Amino acid sequence: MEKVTVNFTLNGDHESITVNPNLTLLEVIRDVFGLTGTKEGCGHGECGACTVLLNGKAVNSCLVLISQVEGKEVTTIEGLSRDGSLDPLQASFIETGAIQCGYCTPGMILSAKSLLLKNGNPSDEEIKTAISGNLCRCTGYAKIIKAIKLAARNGKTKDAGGES
Amino acid sequence: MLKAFELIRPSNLAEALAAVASGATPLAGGTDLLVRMKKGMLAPKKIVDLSGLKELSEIKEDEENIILGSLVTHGDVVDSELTNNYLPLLVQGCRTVGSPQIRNTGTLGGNIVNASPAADSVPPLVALGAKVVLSSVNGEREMKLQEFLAGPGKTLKRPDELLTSIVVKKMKPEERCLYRKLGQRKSLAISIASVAVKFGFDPETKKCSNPGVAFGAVGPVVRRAVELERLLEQKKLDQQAIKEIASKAREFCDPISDIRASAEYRREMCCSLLYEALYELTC
Ligand SMILES: Cc1cc2nc3c(=O)[nH]c(=O)nc-3n(C[C@H](O)[C@H](O)[C@H](O)COP(=O)(O)OP(=O)(O)OC[C@H]3O[C@@H](n4cnc5c(N)ncnc54)[C@H](O)[C@@H]3O)c2cc1C
Ligand code: FES
Ligand code: FES
Repeated sequence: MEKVTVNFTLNGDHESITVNPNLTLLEVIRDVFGLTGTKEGCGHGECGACTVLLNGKAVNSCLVLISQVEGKEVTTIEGLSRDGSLDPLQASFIETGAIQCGYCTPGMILSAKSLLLKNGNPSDEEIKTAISGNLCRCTGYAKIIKAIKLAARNGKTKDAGGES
Repeated sequence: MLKAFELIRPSNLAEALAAVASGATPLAGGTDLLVRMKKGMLAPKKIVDLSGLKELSEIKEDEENIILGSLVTHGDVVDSELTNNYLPLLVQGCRTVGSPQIRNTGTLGGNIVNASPAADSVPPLVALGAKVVLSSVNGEREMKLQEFLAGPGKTLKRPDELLTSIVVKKMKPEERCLYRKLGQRKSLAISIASVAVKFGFDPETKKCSNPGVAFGAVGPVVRRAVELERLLEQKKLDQQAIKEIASKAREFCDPISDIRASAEYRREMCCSLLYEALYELTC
């Protein structure tokens, strides 16, 4: 199998990799880069555990072929914290207790991030739609929704304070 | 892991057309193709990755039409001002596809060529009389989407062709529309039955004009219900007429029984969905 070279940005760093073309983005993130925060659940687009951001939008990395990320920006859960401080979403999930086993959490947070990037003040309905591709078998979702609302509020105060 | 294949990465449409002419399988968003490869239903030897082709990713307009590149995603349709202004029926259909993640990668071209009777962008497009543009190294041809769909998983696309764009007449501002989908749950649900309806409506006379009606998931292909459209045009759409017309929906569907629903249930649901749609659109 002839290898392909793919150039993309991963969590802010430019990367150029030469790999077999039959790898998914999920396999590259976990096995080539060793970033194991992104999980595999179903492998078929049904559970959202593998969610990452591609140019700021949530996608299932289990259904993205590595060549499809050419020239794009990929963000995984490892790329959300900045200089050692957690993203408002990570902080609010901890504060609210929106995590039990934690398997869905990285994907859930990235789906929420994709929403907050577009809409800093989402309604409950908008939050539910944004996480409708992410299954959680533990929490019952109520605390997750609460955490996302809290992060939206905290994100705003931060912006108003001039930090980002 | 996916079986080995040769990957072609075209930098423009001409190169992509040469690749399909050489027998490569097109990859758009990959949400259908990769699932089928993972399940072992397909093992293409050669794949051409269309995803970088900017010329197929645009939504444009001319005087009369909206022109959607085949790589436009369901999410692009939901977000675009042009589609929200001129094709609200399609926006409603695309909004029901899968999940945000699936909408952000799945494309209109993939949805159409996949030719599932349950494809959610298709009933709106068929009800709106959309045309598809097919290209090959030998040139271009255009046909009605309705005619393009040949059966479950089958289209009139030749192996050396790519679907390059979808051309849809702009809806008029006064036209009303509704896409109604019945699934087992709200998201990540394949349609059990669906209906797309649009028409101009005069609330005074209760007469409708220029109707379009298409059903999804209740026959081998998404089909326009021309006979129902005629009835809609002829009648004054009061409560009685709506009930009568909706009850005729069962005659225009030819559903199968599968793991999601029985044929009889689907037939009943067609009538109910159409009734709900007509009720909402005429009150
Ligand atoms: C979890 C999940 C949920 C889903 N839910 C829904 C749903 O609710 N409603 C719905 O309608 N669909 C749903 N789908 C199906 C799928 O997401 C859509 O059909 C999507 O639009 C396919 O587009 P794609 O770009 O991903 O296609 P791909 O997988 O890239 O391609 C699909 C097929 O079309 C061919 N093809 C693609 N583009 C072209 C082109 N331009 N010219 C010629 N051939 C082409 C490919 O070779 C392939 O055979 C779901 C899928 C998953 C995995
Ligand atoms: S692992 Fe990708 S959606 Fe389940
Ligand atoms: S916390 Fe366990 S699946 Fe969500």
